Amino acid sequence: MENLDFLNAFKDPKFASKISETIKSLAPEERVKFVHICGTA
Amino acid sequence: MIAGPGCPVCVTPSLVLDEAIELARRGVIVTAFGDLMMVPATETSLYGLKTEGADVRIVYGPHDAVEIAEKNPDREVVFCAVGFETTAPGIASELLRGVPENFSIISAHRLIPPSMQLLMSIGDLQIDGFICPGHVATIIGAHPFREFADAFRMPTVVSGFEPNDVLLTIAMLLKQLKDEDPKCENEYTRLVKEEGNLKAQKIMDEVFQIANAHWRGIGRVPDSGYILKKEFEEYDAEKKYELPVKKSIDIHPGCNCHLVMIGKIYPPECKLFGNVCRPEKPYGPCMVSSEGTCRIYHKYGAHFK
Repeated sequence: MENLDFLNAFKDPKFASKISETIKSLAPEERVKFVHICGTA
Repeated sequence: MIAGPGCPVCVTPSLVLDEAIELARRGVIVTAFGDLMMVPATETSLYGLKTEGADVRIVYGPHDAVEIAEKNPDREVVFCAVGFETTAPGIASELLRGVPENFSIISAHRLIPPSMQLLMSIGDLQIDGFICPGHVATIIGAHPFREFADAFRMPTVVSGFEPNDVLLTIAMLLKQLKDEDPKCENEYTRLVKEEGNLKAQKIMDEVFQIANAHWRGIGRVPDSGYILKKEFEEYDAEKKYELPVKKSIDIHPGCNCHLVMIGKIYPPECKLFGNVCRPEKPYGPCMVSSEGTCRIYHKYGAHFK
């Protein structure tokens, strides 16, 4: 059920804009570097 | 954001392709994922060889290759088994189910956590967080990634690949940084379990054993690859055909894929990017697959400026 709610949240067209606001609010002043381990197969 | 080791096609050593090319020249039917076809080997590519008339076939998975072997009992068939922990269960499953004698594989599977350990050892990369691959974690579980938070105090999140997954993962990493509380979190809870897919792990353990492995552009990484166990050696193409050990060229002159793969430079910093090296005629392995870092930058790079 928890996962289903999560998927519904993803379907919310405003989810991306909401999470983007969260990212802006959390962004540190100095530059940070994240590595996306990208192997997709 | 920088792209870490991968895609699997990018890190597959040139030697694997050179061996496949040698077998195709001997009349063996060589099967491979489509992504592998255009990857430059030492002298040519599988696609280049196909245009010369060699029997090189694209398959969507190992089962297709096994079917080709079953339909061509008078021919030898080799499958180029590349990929990470996600593709290994598929070939393990085929070998356990039983394959015809004329079928064998070149095993070039690579493991993700050891490559991340390698990144941690490169001091000047200054990484602030890991976005871990959800598909790999679906198989091996979230727990193998915990060591990066526990031992290295590195913010770590197992993530899905949908845009919203990645956005949420970035927010989770930033929160960890802000709280100065590095840990390993699982964003991809709808698929990834702490213990992973135990059935897949079991069949991988039955067929493969972990060994040191060479990564294209990166070099030898301890305990980072799968080789076939002794019970399955008869399906090891390298042993079956006594392929000559030869010197392969992973990185051709001027190519900077090795620096792109470990995040030391961005693709546009390579002088060959977009001119000598383009998607329609890739010079380096990262420009080949739609998952390759250079290929992605070539397609979407304008958005990053």
